[in-house]
Amino acid sequence: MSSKYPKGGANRPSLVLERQAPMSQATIEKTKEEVKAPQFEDDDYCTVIHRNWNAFDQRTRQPLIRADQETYLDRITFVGGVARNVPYEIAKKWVKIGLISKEHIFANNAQAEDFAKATGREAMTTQTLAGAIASLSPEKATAILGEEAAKEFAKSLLRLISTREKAQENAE
Amino acid sequence: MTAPDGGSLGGSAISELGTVSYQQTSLDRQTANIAVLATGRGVSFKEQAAVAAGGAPYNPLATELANGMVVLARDVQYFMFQGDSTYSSGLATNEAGNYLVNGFDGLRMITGAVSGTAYSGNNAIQADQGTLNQHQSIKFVASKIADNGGFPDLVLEGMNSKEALDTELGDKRWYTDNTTEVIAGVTVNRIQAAAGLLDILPVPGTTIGTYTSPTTSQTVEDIYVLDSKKIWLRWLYADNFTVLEIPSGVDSQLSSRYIVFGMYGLEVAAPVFTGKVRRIAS
Repeated sequence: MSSKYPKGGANRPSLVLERQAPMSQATIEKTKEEVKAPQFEDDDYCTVIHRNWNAFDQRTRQPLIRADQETYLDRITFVGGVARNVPYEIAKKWVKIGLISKEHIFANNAQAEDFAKATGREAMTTQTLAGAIASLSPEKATAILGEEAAKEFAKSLLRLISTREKAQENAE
Repeated sequence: MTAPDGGSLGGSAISELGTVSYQQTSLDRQTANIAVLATGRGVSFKEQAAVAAGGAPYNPLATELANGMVVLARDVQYFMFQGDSTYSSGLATNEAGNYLVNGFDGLRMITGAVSGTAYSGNNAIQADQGTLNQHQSIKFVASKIADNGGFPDLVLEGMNSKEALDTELGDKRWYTDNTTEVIAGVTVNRIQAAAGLLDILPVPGTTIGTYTSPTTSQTVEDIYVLDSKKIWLRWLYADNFTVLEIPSGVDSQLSSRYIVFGMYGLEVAAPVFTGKVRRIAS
């Protein structure tokens, strides 16, 4: 292999001085974490998501945590796997115990897109949405949509289904 | 106070001659299987005669029958905790529990929120234990149940969890000296929660089991906080085990045979009055 520097020439740079020690994999991972993880003080409030936020059971394809499901970790309420206004001091301890990872802690105003980026999961797939709708009780759906919107939604669903049934009957 | 029906707080107040509005309670109904549990037991005439002739101080037939009953009792307890007779995708390692169609659904699934089960939206309280200790976690769940209108009075947990609770509270005389006899011969500790005293009943063996938490993915064991007035072990035929004697020699074999059986199912009338602490299994 030829070199652009003459052998033994005065301009040849010292390889020993120029080479940097290669970063170990552990260092690279650590650097990544430092770059990604937002900086918090203990008395900051943050948003925390559960490890299984928007994850599915591999066999049944059912969501592990429903979008409207209320659960608790210690005294903190999670809705659909997301807890807002969590004191960072507590979130830090959850990381230490292994209940969540550093990547599951976000700024308090973080949104589903941020969670999606961090976890590599889509914020809301059609499947998730369908699962969430199917798991809603009529009372809860009405409470979320409002009476009028719920009525309209129910009517349009019935209209669609009856149109399809009629079309099927005619085809037969 | 919590009312079973919706509507805004104070919504029932009307003017002197105002029109009274009518409301109706909506009820969620859920059926539960009554399982048939049975075991056949028998001892040959030769063994019975030989043990008696040899002078050994035991009765092999009585031992078989007693052991058969313990097996049935264990299985009833297993179904009460981990039972899954309605969700075919259930596994022993997930919250639904191992699917056995002839059993009945247990507390793990009923107080869980496994999507696809009949209980996914029943709003039982689920709290993973993190930085709180077990005593605080149990009291937290009890207070949420009270918020829902229940009167929690019973905690069921495995021996590991009970031992951990004893370690936490071992230096508190209000715990060590506060015991009650729940049934003859079974004395348990009690702790004071926001809505009254909770009897802590430890359950030996593996019937409570462990599974992967759907929220944290940790291997956890459940600690159940219950309103015992809303839970029944329903039975058919007889409330205890029935022993059926099969006529000896009916199948041309010289032995005494018995069938021990019972029929039981679990009714959890108000899942919102129940809850669980998911504790990392130790």
